[in-house]
Amino acid sequence: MTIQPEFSLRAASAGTDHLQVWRPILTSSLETLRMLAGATEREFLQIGARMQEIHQQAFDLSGTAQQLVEVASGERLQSLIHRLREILSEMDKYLGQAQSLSETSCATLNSVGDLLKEVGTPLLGVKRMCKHLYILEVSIKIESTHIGEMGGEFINLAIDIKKLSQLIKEKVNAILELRALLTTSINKNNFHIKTVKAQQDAKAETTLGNTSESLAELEEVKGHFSRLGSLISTISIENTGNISTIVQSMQFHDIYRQQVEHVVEAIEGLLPAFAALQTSDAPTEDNQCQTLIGMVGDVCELQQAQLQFASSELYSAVVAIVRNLQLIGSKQKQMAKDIFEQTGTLDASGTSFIDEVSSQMTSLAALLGSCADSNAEVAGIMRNVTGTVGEITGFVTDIEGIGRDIMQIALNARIKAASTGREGASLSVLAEEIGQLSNEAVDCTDLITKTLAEIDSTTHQLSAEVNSSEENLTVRLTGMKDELVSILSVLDKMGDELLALLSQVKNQVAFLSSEIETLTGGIDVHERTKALADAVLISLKKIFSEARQLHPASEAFKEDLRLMAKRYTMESERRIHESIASRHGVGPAKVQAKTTVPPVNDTEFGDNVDLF
Amino acid sequence: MAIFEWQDRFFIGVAQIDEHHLHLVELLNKTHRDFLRQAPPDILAELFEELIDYATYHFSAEEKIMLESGFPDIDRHKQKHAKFSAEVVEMHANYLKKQKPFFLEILAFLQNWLESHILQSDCELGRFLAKRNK
Repeated sequence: MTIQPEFSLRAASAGTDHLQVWRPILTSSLETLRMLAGATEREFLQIGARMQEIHQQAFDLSGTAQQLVEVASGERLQSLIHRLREILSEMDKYLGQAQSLSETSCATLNSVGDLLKEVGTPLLGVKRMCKHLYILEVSIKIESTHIGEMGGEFINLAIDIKKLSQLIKEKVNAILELRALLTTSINKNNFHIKTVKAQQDAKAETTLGNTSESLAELEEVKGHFSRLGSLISTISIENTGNISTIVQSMQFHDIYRQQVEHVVEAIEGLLPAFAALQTSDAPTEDNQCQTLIGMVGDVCELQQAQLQFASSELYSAVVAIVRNLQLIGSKQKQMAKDIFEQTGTLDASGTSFIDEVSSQMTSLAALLGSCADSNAEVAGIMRNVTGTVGEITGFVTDIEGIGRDIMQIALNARIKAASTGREGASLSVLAEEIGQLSNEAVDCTDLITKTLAEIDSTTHQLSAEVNSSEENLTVRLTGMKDELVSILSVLDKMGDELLALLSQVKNQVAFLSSEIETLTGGIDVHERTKALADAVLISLKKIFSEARQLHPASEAFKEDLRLMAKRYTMESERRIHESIASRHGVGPAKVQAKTTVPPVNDTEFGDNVDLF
Repeated sequence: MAIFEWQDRFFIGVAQIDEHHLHLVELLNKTHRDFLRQAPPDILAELFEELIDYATYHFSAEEKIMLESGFPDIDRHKQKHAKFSAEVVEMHANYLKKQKPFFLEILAFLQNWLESHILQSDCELGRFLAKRNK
């Protein structure tokens, strides 16, 4: 820079006085500026180090949140939900089959009950025969007294009839007793099966409904978490952007330092001229003095503008750092809040949506167990009924034997009556009666055996079906129950992981917030540097104002300004020189306006390399 | 020997009723004897009818006594009489139509009914009247 001094002799004396005043001010300002150039570097390095930690913590927090989202919405959960839906569907099918089996069991038991009622009539008919047999016995005994020696054979016949009558009574009574027992058992068990099934159906409906709802909620939560995953990604990207802005802002420290050093250099350049003035001869004093005043004015005006710009930029940069750090903190806090809201986690209970699902799965497993027990109970009832039916049908042979025995007695009676001649005519009547009785007995016993056989067949068929179904259904139920237990274990594990991650998120958020608060609360470097710079600026402004009054800016200075405004590629420097040139009436430099389009960011921190 | 051997336990302690019962038993035994002696069905049917008529007469007398004495179980007792009457009338009709010519069954029914009715229902009436007359 070349300065052409233009001064008058009139101003020389006043200028010397001013120079005497300005020199210590400039020296003092230099001290302050040197301090500004060096002292802030350490603080910025510290802020940078802390900021890097915070960046890492924010990154870790996003990672934990992402992990949490993965646990709550990932493939593992999806596959569990899918399997649980399948189990619910299987349960539904099972309940349908169990219901059908139960209805069949009840219908069969009713049918057996009806058959037992039916068999009552022929049984009573057989029992009534005992009375007929008694009359026959008595009649034969009466008549046998009228036929002399042959009567003995009829007495034997009467004894046979009596024995048969007793046998019939025993058998029929035994059957009737078992029949009563079975009828009571069927009625009781039928009612029990219906009641148990009704209760089980109601319970199943509630449990399946709740489980279904719970699964729907789980899918909804999974959907929320998927969206939360996108939110976390967005927040992470935004935080990276904030960090980039902070890194860019941090670089303003270097620019500031360089600019302050430039100011220092420029002012330092003036001081030798002050020293030379003190040692020079009187005739040249005025001339030198005016030249120096002009130089002081030029330097102070330029450096005041430079310092003003640097100070202001640094201040804005630090404010941006604080603001961006606070933004990171608030976004991470919001993210954590969203996560806690989605998981439904309460601080006090420490439960989550998974606990609810686990609870429903436990109820479902209990229901499966109860269904298996119920199946076993129905099978047991049927085995019991089948056993009693078996006892009754064991009498079929005896009943058939009764029919045969009466026929045999009738045949014997006819043969004996035929051999008695006229004296035994009444015995022929009795033989005829016995024959009729035997026909009726055969009808009755046939009906009884047929009905008992039908009961036997029905119960055996049902018993076989129940046993087979019980076995199949129990195997299926056990399979489903085992799988549910396994799913429950996975769910519990997921719940534990979720709680651990939630706790981690909570701690990380608290720590990050505290770190950011501590860091941002402690950043006052911009305030302190501004205060110091402001003091220097006041001094420089005062000096250049006084200097310009004594010695206005030269044309050469103005031309230099214009050229500098045109030459500088650095936006900030160019703007400073443009501004001063404009103030001196040099007018805006006809330079190609630098584009204001933001630089294309090829790197994380943007295209700010021209700052250096 | 008869199909209904009278024993002292059949006396209920009311002379009129005991006489009726003795006559009914005699009618039943006579019918049985005639049956064994191969009496023709119309004779047996007449005897059977006589037995029914006398039973009806006896029931009326018994019910009158029950009514006059204030026997508490009169309704149930009367129902038994009515049921018996209906059954024997049906048996008689069937016998006449030869739909069920199994006479021994009729005799067995009559013997069994008469014995159990005297020993249970009528003895209960006898005990009531004895207690009342004390």
